[in-house]
Amino acid sequence: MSSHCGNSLAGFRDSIRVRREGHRAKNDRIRETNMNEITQSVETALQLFEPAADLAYSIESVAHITQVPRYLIAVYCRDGFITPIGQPELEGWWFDDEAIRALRRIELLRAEYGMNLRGIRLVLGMNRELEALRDEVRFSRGR
Amino acid sequence: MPIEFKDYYTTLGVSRDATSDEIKQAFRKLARQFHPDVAKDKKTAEEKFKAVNEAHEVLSDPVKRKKYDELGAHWQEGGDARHANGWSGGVGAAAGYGQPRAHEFHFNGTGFSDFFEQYFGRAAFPDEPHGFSTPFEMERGAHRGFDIDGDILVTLGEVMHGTSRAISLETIDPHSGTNETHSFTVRIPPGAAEGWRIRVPGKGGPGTGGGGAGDLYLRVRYAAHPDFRVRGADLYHDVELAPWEVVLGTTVVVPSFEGPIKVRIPAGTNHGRQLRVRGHGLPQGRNGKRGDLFAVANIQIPKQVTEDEQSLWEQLGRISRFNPRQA
Repeated sequence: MSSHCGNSLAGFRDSIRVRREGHRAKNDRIRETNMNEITQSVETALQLFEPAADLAYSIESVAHITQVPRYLIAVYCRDGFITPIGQPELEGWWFDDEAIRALRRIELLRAEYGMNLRGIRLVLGMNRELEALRDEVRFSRGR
Repeated sequence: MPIEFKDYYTTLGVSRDATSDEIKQAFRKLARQFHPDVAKDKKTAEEKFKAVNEAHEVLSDPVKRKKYDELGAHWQEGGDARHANGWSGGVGAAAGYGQPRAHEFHFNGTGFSDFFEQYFGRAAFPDEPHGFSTPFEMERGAHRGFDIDGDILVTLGEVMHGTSRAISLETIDPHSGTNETHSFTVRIPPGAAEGWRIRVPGKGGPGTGGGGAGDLYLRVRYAAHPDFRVRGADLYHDVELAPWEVVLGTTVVVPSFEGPIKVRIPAGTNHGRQLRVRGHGLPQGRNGKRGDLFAVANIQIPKQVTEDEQSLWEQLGRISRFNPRQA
């Protein structure tokens, strides 16, 4: 864990990348960018946050952001708690904001509520099902 | 901070005992008039549309409507509506399972009013009663700030082209009473999917003892559209059809974001049949692909018929060999 915490901020930002669809070569498909930074907008003098729709984080970045060790992230992936983007075997381990949020939720349930992985699976599964049902009800009600 | 009560019935112009159909009709009428994707005077219409959409969001949902009606009664009595029925508003992460709020916060610019955020915001997950700390932070006695969840209302036109939202988030510390306002702009890219969460790092609750600030998660919510329903990147448009039109076939004009499209309804179309118009749905992220537009056959039966029509239906009933109850 200390190695994750010790990463410099610059190094961390460099590993936040935007995936570009439509190119086959790995190096072409992933472009380094700082899209997730909050920058100053000259016109409005407001902070501008401009996320890309296909923003992706490397497993190292996710470990740094969430302070969850990489091996544990891999365990959560293996057990289906979070899902990496694309094909990890071919492209490496990349995650989106939803995965970061899910990891924070998992750690919250473990540390604050003392739940084990089976309990967390149950809670997250029910939560997903509830979300899906809500979406379906919303769609049907629009008729 | 005092929150102004919103009279959603007045907003939609319906009575308090209006049926769900009446609410739907009122919404569609007003949404066609004020929807930013449709209205000519977009600036003026936008605020009105947000209010209409919010009222529809609450009154079209039986559970929310019941809560709203109960809340309204308590509000008029001057009581604390938040505790009137054992439920509380769901803005943000500080409202946990019966936990006192560590911080209070108010959004501005998300497309929903403070009233809606306070009482009808989402609380689908047990959120942190206080900031969750990592083991590393715990060792130092530090507490990470709590994450804040909020919804951001986006019209389908904005999903097509992308948009920017000026957001302000006011956080009030209950202990010191100090409030802090963070203002920033969030750019929503074209093709942002319903339910997609935009993480704004460091804009959640403040950390303590050297712990980092939490994050703000803005969940994209599509504003209801008078003409379309949405599933994924696909749009669904209900086409009202007369019985003879589905029996004989016809051609109808359906709206799309590229302008009206002619769709042929084949003879013998059943109620609920979906006719696909490829590539006229919403964008799917930045890959350039588009979802599809589905014209859904919605057969309408005349409520009243003239004597001549009655006679023709009776004649049809006598000579037709069609039996819908036959296997």
